[in-house]
Amino acid sequence: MSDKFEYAKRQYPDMADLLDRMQSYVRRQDGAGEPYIIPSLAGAVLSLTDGEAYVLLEILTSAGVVERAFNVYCRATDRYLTTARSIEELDDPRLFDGFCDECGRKHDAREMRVELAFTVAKENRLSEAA
Amino acid sequence: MAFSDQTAKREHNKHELSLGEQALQAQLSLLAVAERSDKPAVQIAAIAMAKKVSTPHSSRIGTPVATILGLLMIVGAGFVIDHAVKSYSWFPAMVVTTSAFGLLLIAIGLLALFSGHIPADKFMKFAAWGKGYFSTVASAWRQWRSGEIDYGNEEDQA
Repeated sequence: MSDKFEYAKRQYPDMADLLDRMQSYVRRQDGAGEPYIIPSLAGAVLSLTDGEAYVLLEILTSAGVVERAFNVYCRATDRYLTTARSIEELDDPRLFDGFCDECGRKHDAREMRVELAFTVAKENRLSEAA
Repeated sequence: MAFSDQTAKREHNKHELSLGEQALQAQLSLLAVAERSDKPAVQIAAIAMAKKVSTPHSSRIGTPVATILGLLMIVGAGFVIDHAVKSYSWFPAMVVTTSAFGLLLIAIGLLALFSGHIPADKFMKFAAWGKGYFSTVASAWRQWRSGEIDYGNEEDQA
C-alpha cells in the first residue's frame, strides 16, 4: 500500500502535502471505527471544499488506500438501505431490489438517493492488521 | 465553462435518474466544484477525472475497436495514396490523396472521440468541417470529370 501511495504522490507532486493530510484523516477515521469516509466531512475537517476532498480521495482510490462506496438512502425517511461498490452494481436489480424496511415496500430510483463515500481498502484496515 | 460543469448542468431532473445516473451526476458535481479550486494541481486532476467520468462506458469498451479501425484506415489510406501517385496524372492523384488525407483525419478524430480525449460536441464541429472539406474535393473532382477545368488527364501521364 505504501508503495502505491508513494507512487500516487510522485504522480501528483503538487498535491503531496494534501494527500498526506487526507491519508492521515483516513487513518484516523479507520482507527475510530468509522466505516465510511464522506468527502464533505473530510473537506470540513481538512479545510477543503467537497470537490477538493473528492479529488484527493479519488487519487487515494487509484493508490489502493481506499475504495469507492455508494450508499443508498430512502428519500422519505433518510434510512440507509444498502451500499454498492460500483455504479454498475447500483442499477443491478439482482444485487438490490430497493426494499425499504421502514416504508415496508420496494422503492424505485426516484424514491432513493445516493451518497458518494469511500471505505478503507480491506487490506489496509487497522482492524484487519490487528 | 468547465467541462464537467457542462455535463453536470444538463437538464436532467435528478428525481428521474436511475441510482447509477444519480451517482454519476454527484461525481460530476463534486468535480465541477474541484475545477473551481484555487489549487491548480487539484483543478487539473479534476478536469482529467471529469473527462474520464463523462466518457460513456460503452465508449471505453469501444476504444480497442476504434483503435483497430483507425489503424486499418491509416494503412488503407497509405495504400490508396501510393496507388494514386503511381497510377494517375497529378490532378486525380491529388484528389485521391486529399481524400485519403481526410479519411486519416476522420480516423484520428474517431480515435480521439472514443478514447475520451474530445467530447462529442467538439467532434461534431470537426465532422462539420470534414463535410465541407469533402464537398470541396468532390466539387473539384466533378468539375475536372466534366471538363469544366483542365488540370491534365491520364493521357498526360502516359
